[in-house]
Amino acid sequence: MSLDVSRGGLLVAFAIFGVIVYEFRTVLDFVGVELPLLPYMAAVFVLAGVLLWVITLTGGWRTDPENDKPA
Amino acid sequence: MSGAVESKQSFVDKYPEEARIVRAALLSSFLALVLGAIFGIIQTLHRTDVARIIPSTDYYTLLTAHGVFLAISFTTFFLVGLFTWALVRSLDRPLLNTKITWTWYAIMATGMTMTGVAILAGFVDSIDMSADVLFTFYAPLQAHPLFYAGLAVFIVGTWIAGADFFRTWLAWKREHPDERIPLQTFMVLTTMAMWYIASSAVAASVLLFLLPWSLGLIDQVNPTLTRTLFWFFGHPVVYFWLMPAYLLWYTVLPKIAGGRLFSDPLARVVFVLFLLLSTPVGIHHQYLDPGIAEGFKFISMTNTMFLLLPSLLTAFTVVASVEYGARQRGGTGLLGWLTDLPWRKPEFTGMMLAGLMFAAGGFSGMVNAGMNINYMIHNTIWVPGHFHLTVGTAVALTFMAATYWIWPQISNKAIYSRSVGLFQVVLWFIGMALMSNAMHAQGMMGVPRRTAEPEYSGFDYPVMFGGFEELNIQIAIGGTLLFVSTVLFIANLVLTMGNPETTGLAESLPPALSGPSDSPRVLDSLRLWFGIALTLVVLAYALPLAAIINRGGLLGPGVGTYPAWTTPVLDALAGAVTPLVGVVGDVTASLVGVIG
Amino acid sequence: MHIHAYEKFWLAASILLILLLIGSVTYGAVGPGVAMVADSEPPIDAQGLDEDERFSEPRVEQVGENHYAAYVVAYQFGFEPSPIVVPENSRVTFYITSRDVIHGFEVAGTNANTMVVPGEVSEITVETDGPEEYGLICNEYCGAGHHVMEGKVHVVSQEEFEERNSGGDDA
Repeated sequence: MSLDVSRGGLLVAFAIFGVIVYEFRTVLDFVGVELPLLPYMAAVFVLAGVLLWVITLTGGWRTDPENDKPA
Repeated sequence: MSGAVESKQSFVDKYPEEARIVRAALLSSFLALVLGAIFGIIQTLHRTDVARIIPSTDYYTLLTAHGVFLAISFTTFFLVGLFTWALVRSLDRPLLNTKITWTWYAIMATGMTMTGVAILAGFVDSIDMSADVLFTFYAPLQAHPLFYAGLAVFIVGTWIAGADFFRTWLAWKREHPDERIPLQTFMVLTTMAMWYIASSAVAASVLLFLLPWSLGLIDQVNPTLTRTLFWFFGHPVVYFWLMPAYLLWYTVLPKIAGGRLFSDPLARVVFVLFLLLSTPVGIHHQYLDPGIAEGFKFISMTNTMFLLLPSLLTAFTVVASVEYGARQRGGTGLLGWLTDLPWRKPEFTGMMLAGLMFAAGGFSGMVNAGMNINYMIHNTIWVPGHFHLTVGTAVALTFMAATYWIWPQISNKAIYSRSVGLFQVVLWFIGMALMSNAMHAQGMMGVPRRTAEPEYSGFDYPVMFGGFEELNIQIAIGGTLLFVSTVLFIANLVLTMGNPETTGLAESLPPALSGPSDSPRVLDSLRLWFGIALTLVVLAYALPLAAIINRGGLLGPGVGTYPAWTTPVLDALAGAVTPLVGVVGDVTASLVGVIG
Repeated sequence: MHIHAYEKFWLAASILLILLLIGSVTYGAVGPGVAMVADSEPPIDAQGLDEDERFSEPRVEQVGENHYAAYVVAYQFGFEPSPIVVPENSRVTFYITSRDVIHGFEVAGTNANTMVVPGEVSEITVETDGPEEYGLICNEYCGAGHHVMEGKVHVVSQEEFEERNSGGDDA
């Protein structure tokens, strides 16, 4: 199985994923689960790296030769 | 939306003079962005105590500049440039008289320069001129007359721009008597109509009260009255910022996604709703003002909640249009179509991330609007957290993304690096998420906004969400990422301007799936909607304004005048207090209070 | 005008959300009775506070059974009195005005928050809990010393309140 997503799409997906996981820490704090910031952020990056590795193993991403024309 | 024969000529090929105007306006906008960004990074690092390279009293000069340059200059110049492009393109005709166009541009530039000089002179002690009054310039804090004069001149320039747009449209209408107004033109005209209503109040406040007062022609002003007149303008101005972004999301984003706008009639309805509802809500910025009855605040609250509707409708239409585009490109599945979108294009990704972030901004806005819950967050840093999501991302990021798409068409030059563009927009999103999230959390703890040093000697903030210091780190990092992103954007644009001219950069915009003919003709009766808008504004504001004037008089109940520039004595005292903590700090603070 | 079925659903859901939000705010106003700062107090002369019975001597005093009034003046750059001492488990009505420019009055960590406008008196009523010391922040920009403008609100036991007040310790 390979993820049918382009390199740009992967970048954006990771950015959104990273932001959601980061914001989730605020939600956890709100319900009383306090997690230290630096280890948490390190874990977010590690998790992203693991996902990236998994994607690479299972076929990688699309790199279509889309030329750089506007739209 | 002309639907006529598609031409391979780019916008600048067809309308070189208009393209020159659009470029000038956009460049003025980006100059303001650069200055605003530089001040922003200094502010961020100062507030969070990472690096304090200026005296804290200068922070307020910086903050005034940051607010005015970004929230008035950057946004408005981009708007007039974008609207010039949209109007000319959709009407498929040149402006009526470009001499008038260059005149309003020059007037706007002159006004903003006047105000900018007045603000920046605050950094230079030897010049007896400053305007440390912040973007809201609440009396009785008083700025140098040049500040107010510049703002008035700037606003007059925008009024002439609006007249230019209307006149050009009327000329087109004479040549096309029975046609529906093209969608982009419709959006331009409804936005400017709203602007005339909105800006009238702040223009009146400046010209009738604040400017004469700063010149010494009148003794005092009524602070509640001038505040209320400001917020009469201060809420609709955010729609003045948003509506160009919506224009891009409705008419350009679907094309970039590979599709078409879902519904033209609904887009018209949304813009009409903004014309009607943007202004009669300003009192929601004054929920905690004494001197204004609770009934007026309640009415403002209900109006504000209804103002959510056009934005919620926009969310649906934009997502539906993008999904349509994705499915045109072969996307399938409930969510799988998301992968069939041109994420590699900075113009696309930027606008999508801006829209996503806007949803979060909308939710924190709902909290702000909730009259009694406003007690929790009023004047805390939650509020900047909110508006950096809305004007700071939904608007600013959309404008940057749109530049990647539009600049080639108005200059015949390809963007220098689209990869850097993509990286830049994603970096903005991440930086803003960090900064704004932490700002919201600090606001919940009660940390105030608009202050050089949010740490106080007499108490500590409640420990929530990781605590004050930790949240400061996130704000500092977020702000730094935003600054880097801005630098990348500007560098990319400057390098683009150095590119050689080329061909083949023309873009067309496809017509909507559900076209204007599907909508009732009454939507195009601008006079009707303008009339209703005026009525709603009169209903919302006549009684409150009358009550305020009745209470305090037109010129204020015994209020003094407080020039907002620092004397050397105050400077030295404030500077001495900063490094001191604890008891010594308390004592010095009360000394300052006695002398100041 | 053709409206897609999903769009009709979304429109209905949006209006429902709006009505819920308005309803929740209305509930807050009538249920727990969270009153907004309003125009209940008549305007005063900001430059004549010395002649005003309440604000010439900012203080806290008892005005009813377990009901206290705190008269506070905000100025560049502090609050009078400071600290504002009020008894625990009581109702306190703050009357706040400004001698000079617009200030803010925010008891950090609580929802006691209001604008302070010269010429106007802000009236808010709070219910105090147990003894605690709160920071008081000016949260509206008021000039070059805005960031040093702070005060304290001390909620103290009934005995301590009587002790401190009869000693007449307005700062």
